[in-house]
Amino acid sequence: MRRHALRWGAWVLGVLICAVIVARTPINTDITMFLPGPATPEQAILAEQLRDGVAARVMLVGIEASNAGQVTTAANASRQVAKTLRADPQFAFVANGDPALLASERDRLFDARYLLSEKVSPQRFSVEGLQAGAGEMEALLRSSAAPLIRPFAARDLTGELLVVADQLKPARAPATIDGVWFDGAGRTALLLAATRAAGFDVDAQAHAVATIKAAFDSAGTSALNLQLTGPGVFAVQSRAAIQSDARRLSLIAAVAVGLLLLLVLRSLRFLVWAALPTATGALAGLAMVALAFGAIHGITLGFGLTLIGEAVDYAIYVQVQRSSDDHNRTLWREDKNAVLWREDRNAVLWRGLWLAVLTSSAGFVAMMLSGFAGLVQLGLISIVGIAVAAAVARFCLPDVLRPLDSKRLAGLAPLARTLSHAARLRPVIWIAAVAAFAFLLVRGDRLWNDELQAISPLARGSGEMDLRLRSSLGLSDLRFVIAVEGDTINQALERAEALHDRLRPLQQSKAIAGFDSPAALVPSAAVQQARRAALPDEATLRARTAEALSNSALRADAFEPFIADVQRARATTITPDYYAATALGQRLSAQLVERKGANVALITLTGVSDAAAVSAAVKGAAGASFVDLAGVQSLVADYRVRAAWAALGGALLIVLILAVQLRNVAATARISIAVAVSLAITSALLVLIEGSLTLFHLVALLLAGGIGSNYALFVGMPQQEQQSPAPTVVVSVVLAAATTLIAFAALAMSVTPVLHMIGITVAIGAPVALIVSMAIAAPGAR
Amino acid sequence: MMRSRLSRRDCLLSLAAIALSPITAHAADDELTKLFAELGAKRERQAKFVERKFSALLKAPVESSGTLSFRAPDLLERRTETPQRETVRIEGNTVSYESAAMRGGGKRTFSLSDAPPLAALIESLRATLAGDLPTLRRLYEVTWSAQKSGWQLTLVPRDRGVRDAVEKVILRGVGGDVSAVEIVETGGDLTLLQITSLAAIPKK
Repeated sequence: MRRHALRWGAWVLGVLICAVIVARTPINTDITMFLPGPATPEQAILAEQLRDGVAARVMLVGIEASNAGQVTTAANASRQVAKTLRADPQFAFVANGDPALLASERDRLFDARYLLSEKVSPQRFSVEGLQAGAGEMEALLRSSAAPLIRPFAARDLTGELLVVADQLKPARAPATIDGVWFDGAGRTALLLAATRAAGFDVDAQAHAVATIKAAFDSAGTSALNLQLTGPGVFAVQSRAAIQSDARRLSLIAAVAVGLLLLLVLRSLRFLVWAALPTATGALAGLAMVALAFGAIHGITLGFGLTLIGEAVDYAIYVQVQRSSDDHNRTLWREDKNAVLWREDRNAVLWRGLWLAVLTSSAGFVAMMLSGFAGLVQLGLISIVGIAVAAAVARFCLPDVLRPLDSKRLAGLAPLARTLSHAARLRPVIWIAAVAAFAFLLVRGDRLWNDELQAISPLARGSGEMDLRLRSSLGLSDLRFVIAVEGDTINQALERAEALHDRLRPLQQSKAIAGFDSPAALVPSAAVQQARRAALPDEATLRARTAEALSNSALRADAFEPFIADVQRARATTITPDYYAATALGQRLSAQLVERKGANVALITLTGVSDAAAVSAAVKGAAGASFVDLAGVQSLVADYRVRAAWAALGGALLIVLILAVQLRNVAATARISIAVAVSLAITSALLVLIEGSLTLFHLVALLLAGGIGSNYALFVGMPQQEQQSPAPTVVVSVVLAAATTLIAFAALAMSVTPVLHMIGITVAIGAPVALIVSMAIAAPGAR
Repeated sequence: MMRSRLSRRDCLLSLAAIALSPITAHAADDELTKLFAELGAKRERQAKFVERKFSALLKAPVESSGTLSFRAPDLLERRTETPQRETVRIEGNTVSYESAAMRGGGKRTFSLSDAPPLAALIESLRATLAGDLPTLRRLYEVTWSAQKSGWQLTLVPRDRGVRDAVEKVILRGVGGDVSAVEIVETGGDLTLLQITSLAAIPKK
């Protein structure tokens, strides 16, 4: 009794601790956790851009007018939403094309014009240079554009603002209606809002999304329609989708599994207690992940819940296999040796359970060693979940489960008998296995889909609206980036400046529409020094201005503000901080990456039509490398290869464990071959159904292998020489496979690609493993 | 001196407008529609212009002159002959600008939609000549008033960015001809454009 109290006390305490830990842990959906760790500096940049580049913080807001008459309303709503969001500290910047909103950007650029303008030279500030400048200014003041030049004219005799505006003009700008950005069709007003919080901070992103929606609701009318996209928005949506999926589908799975068990075993008591190891295992797994990572990934949550399918098996094994021999007699009357192995039944069961946990874990250990944060989480939750579920099944369930009435299993007798003849299927299985292996070999590399999109946790199709808004705004698609490295940020900027001259010809030859370099906003120290040196001192400049304007229609004394501004520029240095709290500052912080050992300036490119030309132009430039973000594909492929090797290692580990534990070459071989064959057939079926395999199919195959190895183990464990598996074993394995099939078939219905892939893989893998195990792994098969 | 007289008259006009608004608003709307129908009927125009600029940056008011031409629906060209040759040609959304005073040849082409304030400024004349009241009203608050011999339109920019530069644009004319444009800048500078019609080619 005391031992009982101890066990249950430990269980209650454990559950409480785990529950507290899990309840306090946030859930995130950082997609980069499911991307491989960077191997090269280029990949590091890539991963960083995906994770926290400015692109990951920007939300695109479209306010669509339902008809042409509502366009002005949409423009007004755009202005009002922008005003609300700008007042909100959650947003680092908000832009909608409204010049009034860009005033602080314009002011900063204007104030820095003498250090930014590429035209600044000693010649420009000589008497002749000033004369030419004055001539131009006079012409501008006489032109139709005069009212627009006039507010700056007195401070800008040499017209540096226009030069800087030209330099920084985006290659493609969105159309403007009524002073705000609109899409090409002129129906949808466009806004950009960048959050201060990182793109992967889903709680903050969710709050930002809610803020934008509220701002729209208070500004919009029923004639307007809000469109919202961006990485942060997707993260929020996908988290919601994963959570609702996980909740809904685990409920469906639990109800269906429960109904099945109730129908077959007709024991409500069992059903209640079967949930115990399952729930405890899942909770313990989540708690361990929470402790190890500080947050639980949404995908881990979904995946963890699928452990229902595996953990409930342990309860089934314990309930059905621990039943008295009466069952076996009932199930299999012709069994003559029943009495002989009666005493061994419990020992065999515990050993089987222990081996099942070991072999399943081996696969997941391999997954954890693959060096991929997301997969480490999945491996950890699986191992802890399985081990705890098995321990609870082993130590707690025998206390509470009562042997079933033998008649309840009688209905399954025909099924058990039929399956015990599965060995007759051997020729078919071998043919299928050979066909599957051949099919997979022929497919070769075409087996794999390595596009990021395929494994992205986002639901399919959510990218279209994003693409449309993005191209309307003329945003660089961020596919191509030139990374310029230096020992210091200043050296990186110098090297970026050197690249400008290589990129301009490409712009002229239309190989690219434009480029966006951080050195355009923060010139290198040497360039800034040269420009300051080109500016004359106050007295000199005043004298030269007077002389230059003596024959002009312009009044020299009206240009005192110009002289003052030049003097101010002579004492100014521009650093990235100069642009703090503006849209430009946001852009810079994404484009200047300062970290230990590497300082990188990122030049983004728009409208790249000839990537080879860019690559050639960049080649040989000091510190510069041309990064194609679509190269994320090779990144995924790299990782997938690593994961495949890890899986292979896991398989070998499983064989090793079996060999050591069973000390029986024949049984080890039977079980290993059964698992390998069922995995091959499952993979081939998957390729036929899904078209190609992704990383997540591969991971799910590990899970299917683990589950399959359990079936093979129970069926194939040597009991007595030449002894067929006991009917109770057959029944328990069939039940286990049925519950697994149900749970994962439910998961396969998920709209979240990751969960769908795991679901369909195991839903196919479980029945295949059952049939193959019965046919190949069973020792007594003729 | 001229400015103060203008604004006092405007004050009186707007006071009168407020006082009479229930009756005159409707009447003025009718007048506007009638006026723009008349303006739009002239598909092609040629005119001489003399422009005077009053600016704090200039030693004295500067005068330039040349020709203005318009062809429906959206071509407006301004050729300055004196004191320096300059051509601005706006067709549809495209602006070509050529000036002898500009360094490096001084020839530029750009899109109006890239420069919304400039577009607004250009439309004050172009949309009026085209008889395009909706475009004008999208950009400006348009007020019509009767003059001794003809009419006057006062345009106040709706866009804040434009209003930062331009306080208002006043157009005067008789029948379907525009005879003067007055641009009052927010900073106090003033541009007066006198237009003398050469030959109005009637609608085909």
